[in-house]
Amino acid sequence: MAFKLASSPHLNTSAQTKSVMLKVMLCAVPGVLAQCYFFGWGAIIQLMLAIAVAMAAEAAVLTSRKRQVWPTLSDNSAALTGLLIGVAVPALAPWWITTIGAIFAIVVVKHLYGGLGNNIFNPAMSAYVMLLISFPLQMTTWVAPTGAALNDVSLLSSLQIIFQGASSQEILAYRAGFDGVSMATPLDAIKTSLSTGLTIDEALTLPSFSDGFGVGWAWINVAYLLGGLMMLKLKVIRWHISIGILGSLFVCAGVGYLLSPDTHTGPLLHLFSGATMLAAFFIATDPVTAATSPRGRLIFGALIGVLVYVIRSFGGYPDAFAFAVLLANLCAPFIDYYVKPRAYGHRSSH
Amino acid sequence: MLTLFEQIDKGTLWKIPGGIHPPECKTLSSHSAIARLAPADHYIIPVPQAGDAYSLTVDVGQNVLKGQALTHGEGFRYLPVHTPVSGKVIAIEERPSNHASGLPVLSCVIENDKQDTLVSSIHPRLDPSDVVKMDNEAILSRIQQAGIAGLGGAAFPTHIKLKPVSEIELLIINGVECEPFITSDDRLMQEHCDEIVSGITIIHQLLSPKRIVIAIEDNKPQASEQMRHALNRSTLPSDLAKVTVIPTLYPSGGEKQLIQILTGQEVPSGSIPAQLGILVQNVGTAYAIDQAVYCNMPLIERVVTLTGSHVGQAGNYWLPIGTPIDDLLGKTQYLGNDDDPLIIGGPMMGYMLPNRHAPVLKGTNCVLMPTQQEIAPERKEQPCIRCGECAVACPAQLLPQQLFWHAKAQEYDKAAGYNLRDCIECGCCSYVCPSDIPLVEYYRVAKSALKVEAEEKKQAELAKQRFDSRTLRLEEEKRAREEKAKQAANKRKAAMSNNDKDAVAEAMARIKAKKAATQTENVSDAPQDKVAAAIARAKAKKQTKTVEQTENSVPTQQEKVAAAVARAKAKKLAQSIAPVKEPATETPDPREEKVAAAIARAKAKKAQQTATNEEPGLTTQQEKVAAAIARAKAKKAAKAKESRNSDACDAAAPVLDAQPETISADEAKKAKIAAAVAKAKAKKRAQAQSADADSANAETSHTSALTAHCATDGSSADISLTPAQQKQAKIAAAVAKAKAKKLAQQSLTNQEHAPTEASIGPDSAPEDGVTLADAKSQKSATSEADEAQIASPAEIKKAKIAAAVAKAKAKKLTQESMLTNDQNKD
Amino acid sequence: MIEIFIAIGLLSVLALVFGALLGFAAEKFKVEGDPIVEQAEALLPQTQCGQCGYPGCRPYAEAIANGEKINKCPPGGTATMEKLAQLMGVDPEPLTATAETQIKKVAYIREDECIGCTKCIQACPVDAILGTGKQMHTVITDYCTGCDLCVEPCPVDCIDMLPVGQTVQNWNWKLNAIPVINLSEDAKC
Repeated sequence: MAFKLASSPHLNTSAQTKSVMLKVMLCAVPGVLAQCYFFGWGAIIQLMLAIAVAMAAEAAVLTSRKRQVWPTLSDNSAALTGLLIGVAVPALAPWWITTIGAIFAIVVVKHLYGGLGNNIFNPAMSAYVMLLISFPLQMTTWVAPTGAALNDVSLLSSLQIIFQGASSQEILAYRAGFDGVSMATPLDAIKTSLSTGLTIDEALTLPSFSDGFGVGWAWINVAYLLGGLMMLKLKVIRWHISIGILGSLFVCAGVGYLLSPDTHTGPLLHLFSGATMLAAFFIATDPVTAATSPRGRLIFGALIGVLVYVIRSFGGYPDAFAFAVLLANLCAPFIDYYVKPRAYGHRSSH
Repeated sequence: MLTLFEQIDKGTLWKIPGGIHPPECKTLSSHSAIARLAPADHYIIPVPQAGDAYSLTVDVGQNVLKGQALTHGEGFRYLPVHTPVSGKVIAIEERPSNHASGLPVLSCVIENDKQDTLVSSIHPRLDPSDVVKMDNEAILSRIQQAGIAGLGGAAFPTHIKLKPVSEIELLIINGVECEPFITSDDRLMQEHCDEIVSGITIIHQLLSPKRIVIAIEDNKPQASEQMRHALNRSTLPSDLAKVTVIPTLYPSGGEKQLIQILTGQEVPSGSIPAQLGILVQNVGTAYAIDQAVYCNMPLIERVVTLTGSHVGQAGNYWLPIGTPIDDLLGKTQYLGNDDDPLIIGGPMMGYMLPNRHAPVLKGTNCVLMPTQQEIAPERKEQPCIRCGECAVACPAQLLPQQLFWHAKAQEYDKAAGYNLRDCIECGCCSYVCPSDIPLVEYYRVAKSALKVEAEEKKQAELAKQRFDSRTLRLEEEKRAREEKAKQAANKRKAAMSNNDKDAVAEAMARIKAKKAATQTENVSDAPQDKVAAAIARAKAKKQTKTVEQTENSVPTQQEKVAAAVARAKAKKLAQSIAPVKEPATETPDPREEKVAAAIARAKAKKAQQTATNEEPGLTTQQEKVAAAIARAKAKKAAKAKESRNSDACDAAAPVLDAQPETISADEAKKAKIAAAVAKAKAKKRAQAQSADADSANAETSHTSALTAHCATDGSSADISLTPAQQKQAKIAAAVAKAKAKKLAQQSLTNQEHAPTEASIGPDSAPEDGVTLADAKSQKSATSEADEAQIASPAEIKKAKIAAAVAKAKAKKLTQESMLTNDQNKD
Repeated sequence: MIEIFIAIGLLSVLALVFGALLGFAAEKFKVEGDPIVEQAEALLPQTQCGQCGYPGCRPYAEAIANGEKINKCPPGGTATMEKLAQLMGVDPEPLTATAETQIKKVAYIREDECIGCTKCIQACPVDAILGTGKQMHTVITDYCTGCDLCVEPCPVDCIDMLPVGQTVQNWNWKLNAIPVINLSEDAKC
């Protein structure tokens, strides 16, 4: 036979893994730009570094696994993982933080589990959690958003700080935009305030909340929301997970706020601070580690939302998406097993 | 809450889950009217189940008329096959099938005489009033005899569908045609709407459903318009039948999906729509029913869409069923190459045709000849990223990614747990897959594996049942036997008390016989060569016989014992000799064997009178000539045979008496079996023997005298054994095979040690190859050597004649020898 | 000091109680028969061929339950072996038979050579051979398990074990069963 016999169907959509991944990355552009705007050049440097390291690591592992390098590398999944790590680490974190994170994500989380499609945990979030636990100081030292920072960081000094290291004074200086509180993110600020006995309303009067949501963070979230909506429009992702997360987070936060407005932040603050939008649209929607059926995905998303709220409100970490996503990843096979759609012609759903 | 019928009347449509919108590409072929192509020279009609479900009614070379049934069968499931043209059956053989596998199936090949002479049973169109008068049986039988199978693609016999066990309330006529590219139903509805509606009327007459819905996708406005008009013109009540236009979505033309769209009901998994009181028929089938009932016209042609950018004249054609695909290509200006794919059916569910000589079948609705741009390029499968698009697209609401996961890991039972069998193989999942995974292929492999597994399980269950029942039966038989034996023993006991003397005598006789036998055997062991053994054995037999005779008190029993002993011994001997013989049976080809046989036979004839005259030297030469003529190629082998023949004289008798099986061995069969094994060895040995032959010849006069003596002696044993002939021959052959090699070598050494006698031993083996022809006459064949001249011309024909003559003689001879045997015994 | 003895005593009493409970449960809920044998037998292909060294499938199933190796069933092939491994909780082992013997075969009698000896009929464990003395025999293919047992007794060697051919009906949808080798791609690797 001169030609290879192919099984039906003989038609296919143009959608391919690489284009899907590429679209996801493009849709992240608004959010990345917003981060750049608020955190300076450091964000984009971290992004580039993470992508480069992730792809290099992918190539290295593929070679050692005796796989074809280019076809797999060109599916853009490693680049996307790198991108997510890049936006997750603090803008002025030392270079080795990003490097370790990207290598860990690709080598340990992805390839040790069998490569693309076989990993149980979200690589980017696993790497983030690993970094957060191993290097808590560097990982929580966020530079002050430009809007609040007194001294802007130039490209050159960003590079210098990231690659040559910076004295703690310098960093302190950079983020000393507001009364020397050594907390970086608004959620952190609130947590600290609460622990010192302040109410939410009092905490929100802090300088970092000068615009009501935490300087810059709300805009970054809006930018990611925009990107997420673009993805929905392009049908790169389905709505179930994102809506599940946002919905359950909103409901939980709303209930908490109604019960005790003094000790619980409002739902809007939850939705537009921290990594909410980034995680809801770009991280939790990673199909490999999520549940697969529409109903299962809704449950998966809702689970993440609840976990985020619980950890944010009662846990020790200011933001909780990485942990919530990983915990939900653990539950995904379980959800899939119990949430099977009723197949055609089957009356009882079991 | 409206009833279902009210909702149908209202035109309510339900939504099916999943589905896709592939590019339709229907305009390629939908604009031109249905045309006809010039007839092909040959038509191929597959009859895969011939001999199984039905029998063929035609033979190769028989003339057939257009529309004539090629098969005959009984039973309700039987579906006849007809010839699409008049002409001649030129072959009934395996031809490549129109199937994804392309495996060959039994097919009738009809040569078209281009006369198109119709078979007489086809008649002009009846009046509708005649059809109304027909009873259901008559209509169903017409549909069955027309060989109508579902024209939508599945090709399920229509008459079975039209005789449902439960009542049909809703008849759906499927004119959806949701596959891209295909327009055959569209054109048929536009051009033959009245016939389709009359076919529907016939179904209505048969089943009297409460509603009839003709479902057509909204991308075929002309077709639905035409069908509406035809409905208005028809005799069907207007409140009963309607045309429903449904939105375009693949795969809404699937039977289950169409039912869901029109009624909101789902066909329960594993059952058929009839359970819901619904029957779905394709428009093409309705047309065929009309033709069958009104004209008694069998299903011998159908509308096929030939489309794709590789076909110059895309469009719809009336194609006789059986038209070879490659014939179509030539007549429709095929633009592609030989290695461009052809797809039978649409691009979503069709399969690539592995062999273009395959014919058009009843279910072939489209032949797609696409360019590389029209179908998906061959892409490498990438890892599944579990994006879930497939689950969204799946109209059966399965989880394709889970199915894939298990199918790939070959965990088929787990895949079955995810309802693999509900997969309709529509291809939506593969269509949307961003990782280019051929999901449907995985499912098909998994499905067939599951089928095989189920089959094996059933088989194992059956085997166990049969095994158990057999064990039971054997046990019962054993018990019965024991019971019987016990009874017999009791009876005998009762009888024995009177004449136990007999028994004692019997026992004594047996002992004596044994003793005698062993004695003689001991004697014969010493020389260790076959001839001597044979002689000794023959003598032993004689002795036993004399023993018997002395024991006159129980003559008949004694005789039997002796015979049995002799037989047992002969068997033993046969086994030990056979190996020696084996190498000789190498006779390279049956022709040569025949020649040799004829020679031997001729020799035997004369030998009856002149048993003493022999010219061994001459024989060998003569033989050489004969063999050379017969087979100039195998000179060496021929030499082997000569030596064989030269020794034939001496060896014949021993061989004969030891082994009556040589009598039957003239069957080429045996030679065939042994030939391969022995050939190599025999050649080698033949050379050694030819050297020995001369010296052997010197001795032959002596030995022949000896053997002649033996022969007479042995005749008794030999005849007694004849009943066992065939079987033993074969046993010997089988046993010999294994030992042949070893023995051939032994005999070689034997030869060297005892040139005179040993040479006879191994050469006696060749004997059965040659004299096997009529070993019956071998008793006298001991001294026939000179007769070889007679046969030396060695033409095959002559040899055959001689063989026939000899056979007759041989028969006579056996009878004679039997007589002598009897006399001996006496 | 006394506490230690109290502890020891208490634990001993507990051990006794639970031991008695266990013993009682073992007696009370004793499983009749050995279901593992049934399960193992259900997995075996029931060819009754004896290639495992046991006179039939049930004896082998019993032997497996008693710790016999699971890889001795050539007709079952690797699939059966794996299922047995799972059932018995042992590691799968490669089959003792070669791949060749794992192809499903059925016996076929060359009928013109058959001498009607009935030996094969006696050998057939599933009564799949039809015939009687001096009459030609034939194999009922549907019943034949391909156990090979009839081949040996045949005095004229007229029984062949023929592999079951692939037909359109039992085709396994393995398109491109002959792998297409892309030379250029191989060269790259």
